[in-house]
Amino acid sequence: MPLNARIAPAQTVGQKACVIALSTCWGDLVRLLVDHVLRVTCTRRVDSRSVKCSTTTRQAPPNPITAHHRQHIVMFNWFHKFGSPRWCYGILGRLCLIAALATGLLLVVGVVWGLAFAPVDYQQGHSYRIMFIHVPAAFLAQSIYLMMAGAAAVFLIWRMKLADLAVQCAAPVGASITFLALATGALWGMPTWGTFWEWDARMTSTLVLFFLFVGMIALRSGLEYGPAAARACAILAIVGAVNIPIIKYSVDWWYSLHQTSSITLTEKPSMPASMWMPLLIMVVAYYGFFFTVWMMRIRTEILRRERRTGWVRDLTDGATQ
Amino acid sequence: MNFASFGEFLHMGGHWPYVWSAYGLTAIVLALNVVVAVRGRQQFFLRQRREAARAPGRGVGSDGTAAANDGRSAQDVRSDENGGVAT
Amino acid sequence: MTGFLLILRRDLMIAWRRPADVGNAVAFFVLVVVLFPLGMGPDRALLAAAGPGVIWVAALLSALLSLETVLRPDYDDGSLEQMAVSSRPFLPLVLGKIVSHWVQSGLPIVLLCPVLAVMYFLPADAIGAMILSLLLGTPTLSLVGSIGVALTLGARKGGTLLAVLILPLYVPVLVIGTLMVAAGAEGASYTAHGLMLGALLALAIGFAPLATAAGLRLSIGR
Repeated sequence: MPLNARIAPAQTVGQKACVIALSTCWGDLVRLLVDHVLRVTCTRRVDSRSVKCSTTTRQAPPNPITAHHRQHIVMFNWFHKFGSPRWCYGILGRLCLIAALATGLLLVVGVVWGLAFAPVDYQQGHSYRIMFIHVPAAFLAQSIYLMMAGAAAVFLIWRMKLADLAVQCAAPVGASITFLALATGALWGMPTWGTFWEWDARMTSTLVLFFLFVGMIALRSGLEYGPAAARACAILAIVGAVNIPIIKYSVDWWYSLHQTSSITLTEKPSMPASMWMPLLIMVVAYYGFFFTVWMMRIRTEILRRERRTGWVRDLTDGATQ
Repeated sequence: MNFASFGEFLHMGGHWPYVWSAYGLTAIVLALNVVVAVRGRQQFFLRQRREAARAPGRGVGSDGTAAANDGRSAQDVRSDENGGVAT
Repeated sequence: MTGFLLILRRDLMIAWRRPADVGNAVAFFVLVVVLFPLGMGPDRALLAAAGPGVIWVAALLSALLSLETVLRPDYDDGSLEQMAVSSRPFLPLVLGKIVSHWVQSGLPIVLLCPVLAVMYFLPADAIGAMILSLLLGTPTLSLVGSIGVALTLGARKGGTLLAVLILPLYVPVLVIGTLMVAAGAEGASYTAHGLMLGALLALAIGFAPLATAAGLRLSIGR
């Protein structure tokens, strides 16, 4: 395709992007959105110590709560239970166990199916079986960053401690999964395309994602422990998440315009059910694995942060006896 | 069946170094994640025990009353137990 | 609006009185650009092919190095805190500091790049594309970089931490900027790239000062 033909559609995209960016009412939109969300969950900001929604309150909140808002309070009560580290510790423990069992089962089924029972690929032979561990890892890596950014947004808006814990504990796991995606991709590339590394769009954006995770870990360890560090990491997570689609789009464009060979490594041929079923199982298994490890780490971090409270000391006393 | 024998399964049509090192690396990384998470928890309990042994008079009883030198008032501790959206 | 102009004037006067600070960043940029041919050899075709990328990466690195000089002195002597608690809105002041950083580092880069482009044997069209791409790209670098500086002001070993945080965020600007110069070198139209860089700049102007202000308030409050 001649260069100009490839650029023409990009030109209209560029024009549209300019229009959108310029007509966005900048920070006011963000502020309006945050205000609306806060208004819906307003009682939580009024008195930071009360979680239970009782109709008789000893301290009258400054803002009069209308019946409409009371309905919202009842609706979101489950959400605000997550504000209690102790409650989180308990519920996460149970969820963790369920997730671990499910993950173990799915991993075993998926790996055995993918390695032994899935049919041979016509073009790639048996090396395509690496797909069953590479594609879920790549998929999960991106999802982890988006989940981390979502938790960061929850932390900044609702000041929920659990959300900050979620951000802190997701980063190392995300970095290791991204590294896995890169390494298995390289090992897949060698038998298939004869090279360990190829600067194609997907691998390059995964590499940039790896550095985004490293940045999150670096910032957390570079700042002293405290609420300011938590908010700084949350801001970085959101800034990174906003950048991810921009990075992906620009790297896609970069690859398509620099491409010399006609082989695209990111083409997805249609797969028979005997191939995409084990792949689906592996994807779900990887998600389950992430949630298991995430919850385990969050629980440990809850213990660490709340180590001076009574319930944690009871726990440690119980553990020693 | 895709493989005539277990030997052929290990050979993976000639791609055995790549397939097995990829799967091996995945197993190692996933296992490491789990090991680090579990060890973190064990280390916490170890450290707590050591601190308790070092200063047995200090600390918070099960009813939530804190010693004054803990740096946190009993009210703070109790309110943490009740939970809430804290800053 | 006057807050913005006040800060801009103040910073530019300080930079004018201490030209060494500005000179350092510019000298770093030129040095990096000059080092690459020494490392790669004087082959004309190789340099022409590598030119856009090298000049852009050097611009990135020199923007990164000079970012700390914008906010850190004010943070250290407490005037940043005064700006934050003053009755003036904080955002225009932050924007003023970012623009002053661009004038000190981005503008010299834009003015010097034709000379360096000639050293890399780039054709005339490419030089025009390079000037435009740096003109649109360096403000984005200042804006996004200021977020990183704001977040790491209180950190130990701020320099390399800043690089680790900010360089992945610089990737889109780098990619599109170099594509623009490459398109110019081929003689193709680079309007699309210019529009994309403009879009990135508009997004950055809209949201980066917010994030910077939030980050600064965090660092000051620590």
